[in-house]
Amino acid sequence: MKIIEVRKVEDCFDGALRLEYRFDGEIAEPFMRRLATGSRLDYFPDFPKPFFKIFREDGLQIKGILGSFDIEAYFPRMQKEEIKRNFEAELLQLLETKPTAD
Amino acid sequence: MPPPIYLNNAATSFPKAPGLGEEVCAWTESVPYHFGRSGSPGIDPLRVCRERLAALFSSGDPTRLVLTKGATESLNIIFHGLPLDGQTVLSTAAEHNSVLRPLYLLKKKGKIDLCLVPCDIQGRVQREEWHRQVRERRPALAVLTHSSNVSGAVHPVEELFAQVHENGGITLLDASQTAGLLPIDVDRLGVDLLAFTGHKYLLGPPGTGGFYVRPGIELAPLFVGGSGVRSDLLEMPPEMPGRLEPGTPAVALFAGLALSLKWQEQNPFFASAMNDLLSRLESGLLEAGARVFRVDGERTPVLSFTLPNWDVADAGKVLQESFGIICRTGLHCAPLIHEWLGAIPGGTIRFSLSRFNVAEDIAMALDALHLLLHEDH
Repeated sequence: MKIIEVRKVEDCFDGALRLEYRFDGEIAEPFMRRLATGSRLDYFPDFPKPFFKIFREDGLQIKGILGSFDIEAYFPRMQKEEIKRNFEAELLQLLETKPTAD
Repeated sequence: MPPPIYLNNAATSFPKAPGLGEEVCAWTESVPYHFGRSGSPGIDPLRVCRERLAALFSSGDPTRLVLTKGATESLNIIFHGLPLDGQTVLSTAAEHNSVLRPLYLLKKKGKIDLCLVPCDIQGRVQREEWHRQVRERRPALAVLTHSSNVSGAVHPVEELFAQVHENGGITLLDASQTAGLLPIDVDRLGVDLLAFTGHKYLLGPPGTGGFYVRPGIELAPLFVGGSGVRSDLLEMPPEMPGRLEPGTPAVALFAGLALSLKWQEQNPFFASAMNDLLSRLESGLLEAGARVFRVDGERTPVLSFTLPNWDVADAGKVLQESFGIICRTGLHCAPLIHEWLGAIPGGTIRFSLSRFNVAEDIAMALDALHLLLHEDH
């Protein structure tokens, strides 16, 4: 899976940054689980299309709908550029790695 | 997945008037005669639009209706066209950014003194405060939204505007949320200027709108250019409405709006007909545990609410992308009202109905909200 577009969603009230990452394939559960490794995951599997939201220790929040083509990332105002750089590097690595059988 | 349920009519209505798409296409594909410019056969959709709008607003002379691409353009033309330098403009915290931002800009440039009257907890302007400000500041212009696009509360326009006239000011009604939904009689309400959009409850295409100017009020043109008539003049010709409508008009879109207006004339409908669905929605939301921003008295079919333990943007994403319930979340381009409603900083989730919604839509939306509020994760 590849990122095909990164779009600014809106200016947040507190100076934070919200970006939408669009992929060339659907978001599936294994990808969500890998994205959530080591973080709190709120997951609603019984919705018609399951919703998830990941809360990272650095304040980054990632949300999405399984079966859709995008995720939305919220970068808090403090250190948003650094958090964004780290997240994008991690995301690229994750997209290049094949999921394991488990 | 079933087809989406559309509850975002306060943003833009859907579906539109039957036949609208075909009408716009037909005009796009027909020979582009320039009505009033080079002679043409047949019916001029701009003239038909003006006549139907004049009937809708009981405003008499159709030439006092100026056609624009929407309420925002209309409001900017009005604010920049009136002789407001050094004057006080009165408005309210219930307004949309299409009113607030142009007024802030004029204030920032030092051209006007701007006074914004606060709202009550339901989103209506505080009447006593409005009356006090009108008495004390004697505004040259008072600008009021007919109804809040966040809470749906309808303003007592007649009462509020009467006092402005008594104190020597003129009045501007933003009817973006009510044109096509509430009866509007500019004389009865005391409206001197009225801005509207075509794509909400008039069921017309986006890119259409306009404003009414009472005879005797003159606006300097904000935009100037080709008018198709009196081309020998170096300035815009004085005749209305062409004086305020330079450039090539969106004929096909206004043909669509003319069709929508005709359809509404033939199929009259008012907001009160939706009260039953709105009540069902409100009771269901309260029962489910939502915080509902309730409104007493006259209202439009708009309902704002929040859900415990749900960020409004997340709830909106889930409703839209997972359940297919199309709604709007956030500040709804009306940032100031939320402080008075008690909905800061995130704003609200807003459902806004139209004449095309049915009981099943409400039931499905409530089912979705029950699942959001009672699902373990």
